[in-house]
Amino acid sequence: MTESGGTPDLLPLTTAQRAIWASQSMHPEAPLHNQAFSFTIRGPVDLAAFRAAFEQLTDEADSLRTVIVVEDGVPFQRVEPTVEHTVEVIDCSQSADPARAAEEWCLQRYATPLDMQRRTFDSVLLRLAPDCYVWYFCQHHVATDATAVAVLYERMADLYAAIRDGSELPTSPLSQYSDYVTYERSVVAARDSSTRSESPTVAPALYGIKRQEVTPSNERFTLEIGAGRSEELRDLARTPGIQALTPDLTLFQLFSTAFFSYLHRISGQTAITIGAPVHNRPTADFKRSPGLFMEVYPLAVDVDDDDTFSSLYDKVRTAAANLMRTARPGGSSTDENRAVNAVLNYLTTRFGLFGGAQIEARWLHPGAVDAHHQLRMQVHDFTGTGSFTVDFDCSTDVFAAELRPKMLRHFERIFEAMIEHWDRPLAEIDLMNGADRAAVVGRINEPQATTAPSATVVEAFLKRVAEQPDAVAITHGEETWSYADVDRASRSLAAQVDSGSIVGVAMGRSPAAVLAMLGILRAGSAYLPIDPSWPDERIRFVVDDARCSLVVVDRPLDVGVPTVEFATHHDDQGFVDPEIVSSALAYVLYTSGSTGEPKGVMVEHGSLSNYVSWASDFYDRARRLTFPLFTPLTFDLTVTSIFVPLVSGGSIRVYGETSTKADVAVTDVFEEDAVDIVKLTPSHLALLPETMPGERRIGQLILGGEDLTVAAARRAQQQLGGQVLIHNEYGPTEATVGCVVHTYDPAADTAGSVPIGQPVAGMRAYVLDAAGHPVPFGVPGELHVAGPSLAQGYLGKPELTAIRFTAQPLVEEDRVYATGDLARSRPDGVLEYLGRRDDQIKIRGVRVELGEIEAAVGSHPGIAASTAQLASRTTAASTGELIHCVRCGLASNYPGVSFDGAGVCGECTALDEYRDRAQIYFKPEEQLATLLRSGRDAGGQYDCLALLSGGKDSTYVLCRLVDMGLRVLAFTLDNGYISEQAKANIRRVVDTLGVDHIFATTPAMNEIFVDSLQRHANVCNGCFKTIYTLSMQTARDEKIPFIVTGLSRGQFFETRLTKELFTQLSVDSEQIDTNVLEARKAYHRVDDAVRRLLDVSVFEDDSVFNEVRYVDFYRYVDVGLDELYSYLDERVPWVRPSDTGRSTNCLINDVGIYYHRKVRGYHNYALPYSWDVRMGHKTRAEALEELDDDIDVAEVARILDEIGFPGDISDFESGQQLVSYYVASAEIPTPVLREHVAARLPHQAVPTHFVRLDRIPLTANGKVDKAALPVPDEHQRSVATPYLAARTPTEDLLLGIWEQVLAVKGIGVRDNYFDLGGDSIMAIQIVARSDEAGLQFEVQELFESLTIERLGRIVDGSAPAATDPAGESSLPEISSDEIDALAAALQQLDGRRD
Amino acid sequence: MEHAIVRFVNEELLGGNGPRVTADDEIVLDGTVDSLGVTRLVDFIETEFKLAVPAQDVTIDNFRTITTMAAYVRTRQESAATT
Repeated sequence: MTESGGTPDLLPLTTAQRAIWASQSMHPEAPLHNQAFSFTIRGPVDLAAFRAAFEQLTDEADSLRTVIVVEDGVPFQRVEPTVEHTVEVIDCSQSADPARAAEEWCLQRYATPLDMQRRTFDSVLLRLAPDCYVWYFCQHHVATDATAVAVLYERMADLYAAIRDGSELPTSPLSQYSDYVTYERSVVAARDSSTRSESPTVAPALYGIKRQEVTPSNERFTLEIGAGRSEELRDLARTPGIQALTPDLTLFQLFSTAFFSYLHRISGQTAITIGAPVHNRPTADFKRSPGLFMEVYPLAVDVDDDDTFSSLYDKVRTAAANLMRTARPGGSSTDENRAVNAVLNYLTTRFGLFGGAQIEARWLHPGAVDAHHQLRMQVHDFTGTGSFTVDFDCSTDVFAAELRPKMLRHFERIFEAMIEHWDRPLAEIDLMNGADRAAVVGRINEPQATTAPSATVVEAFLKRVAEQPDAVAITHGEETWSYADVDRASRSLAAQVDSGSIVGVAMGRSPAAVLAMLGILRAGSAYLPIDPSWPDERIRFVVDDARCSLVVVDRPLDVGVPTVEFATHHDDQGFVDPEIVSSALAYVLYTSGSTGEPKGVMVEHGSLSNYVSWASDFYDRARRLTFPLFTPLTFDLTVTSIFVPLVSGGSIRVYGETSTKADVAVTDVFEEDAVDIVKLTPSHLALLPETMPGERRIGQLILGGEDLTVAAARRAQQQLGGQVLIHNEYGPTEATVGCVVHTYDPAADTAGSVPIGQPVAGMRAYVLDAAGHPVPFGVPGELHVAGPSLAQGYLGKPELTAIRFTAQPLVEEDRVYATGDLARSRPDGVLEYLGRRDDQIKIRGVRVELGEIEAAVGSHPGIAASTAQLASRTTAASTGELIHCVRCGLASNYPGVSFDGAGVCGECTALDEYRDRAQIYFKPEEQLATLLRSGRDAGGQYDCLALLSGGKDSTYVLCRLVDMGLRVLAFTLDNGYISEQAKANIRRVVDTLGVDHIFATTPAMNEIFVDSLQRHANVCNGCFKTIYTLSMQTARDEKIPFIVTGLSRGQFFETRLTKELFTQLSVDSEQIDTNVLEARKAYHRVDDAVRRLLDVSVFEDDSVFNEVRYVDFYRYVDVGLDELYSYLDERVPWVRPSDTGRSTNCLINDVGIYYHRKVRGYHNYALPYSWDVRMGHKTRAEALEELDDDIDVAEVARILDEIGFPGDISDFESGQQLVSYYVASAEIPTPVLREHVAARLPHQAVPTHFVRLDRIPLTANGKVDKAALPVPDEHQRSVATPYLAARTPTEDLLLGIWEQVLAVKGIGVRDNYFDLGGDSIMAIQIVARSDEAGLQFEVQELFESLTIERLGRIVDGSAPAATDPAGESSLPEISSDEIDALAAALQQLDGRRD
Repeated sequence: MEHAIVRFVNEELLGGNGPRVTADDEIVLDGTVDSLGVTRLVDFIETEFKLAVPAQDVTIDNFRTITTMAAYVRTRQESAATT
């Protein structure tokens, strides 16, 4: 398009063009966006006519004359009046293989990117034969899309035919792309940008590959669906119930269903979003335009494990409908585009005859695509043959060379299954053919050299006795047992035991326990370890369940069956070792399932011997190593530490149980360093001493029982001097201790979890889908194991045994144990553990492994150990029907409220008692003006600063101050959510009154809101602290001696005038003021978002509180509601707000109310309103009506998103939250951790809470004791201090009182008072109750100490009470991690409303 | 009503030149209007006749011809009037 003056116009790029331009700019050297077609023309071509036709085409199609111009880094497009170009003709006909020569030429040609600034196309004719030509037509994607190519092709064919035939040129049907540029600009400008919210996207890890940084390098694989299959697909598409609006839409949905199924299977992910290009040509004119319209939109589907093709199709249909309704010209987003790693392009483009000749159209693959798109699938039928072609464009950086060709094969299996088995579950589709299957199974189970195991461990042990009778077999402290000693002693026990029975061993860890176990085995019986510290019921259950005939004990124990106390001097005369067959039972171990009663796993000698023999070869290697025995005998991990040394000729060093509640013998093992190799759990690693200098004897660690993260392995290796070998041994009890193993390789194992490796000698492992098919490398499935180490089954539970131990004909196994663990295999055959099936959690639609979260958190350098769990939110909500106080309306779900027989709440009853006495707090109105004038000497311009929210109360205050003749500065915080009506009110009021006014703002407001929600479950606390902080600064800067608040009388009672003050403590007005001031000082010391983000230098010391004082207007003035309103009506143009839905001026308020109700279970206005009612400022009916909110949840979600609240609304809708617990030497700020995790996991998987612990609680077996993790309720959430229980009687008493008053369970003595939700009124209650209990301290001492630990010291007199009036001596004591959320106090002290 | 929809299809979707559709042409099945075009039609109907068209109502039965579209709109309007 040219202006009449001839100066070409610069036009902006369209949204789609900008996306292409940006992508190309990142890789200017790569032909990412060369859209090249080769049209093979089967007929002669008139060269002159062809050239003339193309020249005419460039005249007609503005997009061919378009170049990109960059000015100051901003791209524009310009349509040139003409373009210098003649179609080049290349003759390949002389080549031996013209077709191949032409193809090679094309390959070379399109490998170079087109220079958008010069010309956006390339058009060349290649002559293969007199009746065969190839038209190579390449355009930069910035100027074209597939439809545009078809438009240009069709016009080219028509022009060529007309010119060749000498007939009149047909009228050009082409419309101009520049029209669309203008159109898009206008519709985008007119569009309400809020109509479409970007959907969060998690790119699934395809084949488990998590590569982020990749180049555009790419390879294409092509699948010809074939005419027959294509027709079957169209038949399916015509089925009622499948048929959509148009045939193409149906086919698109069907291909999408297959693609989603494929992506789900190869990633294991359930929430999948792909990119779907939409041609975006809404009108007929645009359909004839030669430029770029195509935009990529997200298509998101939640796949469920039990989805069939049919049920998934229904989801796809809904998603496609949503996609089409949101797809609008200019509506795509570059960020959304980059967030998807898979794209499905269903092309409807067709190319007809060329000058009467048949053609073949090929879309050439430039060998590079946008690097974000790891996998692109194209479906097309360019020449309308009715047979579909599917292209898979695979990133060569992401997918290994041997995987790439298999990908399309896997897809093909799914595609065929879809056509043949519409109602089959996706989880059952076999992804591999026979050869692929054999390759995967074979690679995982690579044969290895093995030593044939002895029939029994007894036999192997006796061989050692004969070989090395004097060698040390067991030590315990100074005590030493040789092999001969062990032989003798175990014989003596064996002589007392019948063969063929199950004998309990209820003993602590000792040499005797080892001898007992060995003796029982020698007798031809099976041992059953029993922990003597188990509850009686459990012991009796196990003894009874296993039909134990006898229990060996080391102390008197009543177990319901005969016991024998172990004695080594027993006569073994006559004992002859019986022959023990490998199928004889060796031991029974009880495991507690997550549900139901414990079950006994029966392990036979052959299994035990197979494991021990392999472990001896693998770990000991004939070095006769010493193992520590320090884990419970009831744990199958311990089997290694007992039998491997005894059959290898090494020794056992016994570590008895420690006297602590949790058995931490592991620390003794590492401190003593008297063994060579240690078998332990990953959780044990956290108990290792920080540094262990010097040469270490411990040279190998065997980790088992839990997922081993790379971070934990790396840290352990560093702690142990870098040389230690770390083996990750995987195995359920049902497969005898360990059946898969991997030795940690720091160079190769760098992220996530250490692989579990490959099967041990004699064992086989399979990763199977839901139907028992082996799955390809990288695809998640359930881990199954087979081989001689499999247990016999569950004692007395044949049904359960039959369920877990099954035949798997597809892998030709008669007996396979389904582990319940998820795994995937790497192409090198190494298995990776993905977590328990039941540990998989779905949060916000995304499937995450807790182990992945643990690994991500644990990879932070400051973290020694971590665990994660999905916890239910606790709320204070009582169950049962709500009742409301008949007087004030307070609801029964308010924590701690009680009602008398008449339905009157405790607060109302109490107020009756002390209301009169509380009047001492109030002061005569006359004193107010006098007080506020008293600071005039200081020389400032104003007498006072009035906090003005714009509501009725603060407006009344301001007016009255002006009436009193005071010089007032009005101060309002604009938090970004003040309603327009309120702002208008404020402006009118200050104008009318003629007072100076400040609208304060801060860019940190949104962060403060987020912090406030997290600490206090409302937004007001953060807002109020911001107001106090900024107004204090202003007052100090302006030398204003007083800040006047509009707190109501109800608020005084609610937060300051507790009954204990008047009934028990009989304080005076000044003492109350002192309390309030102390609370205020402590409040500003809390390290919250306000303190972090605002300039708080004014609070560096407490001197500002001497310079600027708070005055509460309504302490002096008592005014009824009617009087207040009629005064306002006459005095100022103030109108009641109607645009916030309640008597508030703030639009974000609903977010706080909604959130508070969800997480705390009651309305945050319940108590304040009840006080309004008691004070007569509201009727009960008004209060109840206002509390019965109807909150717009979508608006809440929008605002949460807007302020950057981590997580989304479904988080607290579901009542579940993801919690990460970690051990670190120092507190790590939550935002730091959140960022660290967010860089490694989908944002949905970022924990809501991070809780620092002293140590991760462990079960007796050394695994994480999930049940013992503290429940992160909303109080404890910000209490990041390690839990410390009470240690002195004083602390114990205080703790009880705090828990009672604060209504929080599980308080630790270092928890911060304000973090626990404490406020000044609760402080008074605590002082009063402590006084009753005989503990004396002052309210301000509580505020200065803030923890039970320090308060306890003050009470006990072991630390001087910090009474320095400036607070200096007390400040350093309050460390930043302890003072956290204090705003609760002043939220209570001050108002939530105007 | 039919007239308004015909005009929208001819002027907006088909651009005003070229062949024109009538109320009884099977414009979806004959490919005149593609699925994206139907989405625009749905937008138009929602705005013009002030009703919300749920996704499950966007079926070939309701959108086969402009006549069937108009019939659908009337049914919806009537049911809205009676409730």
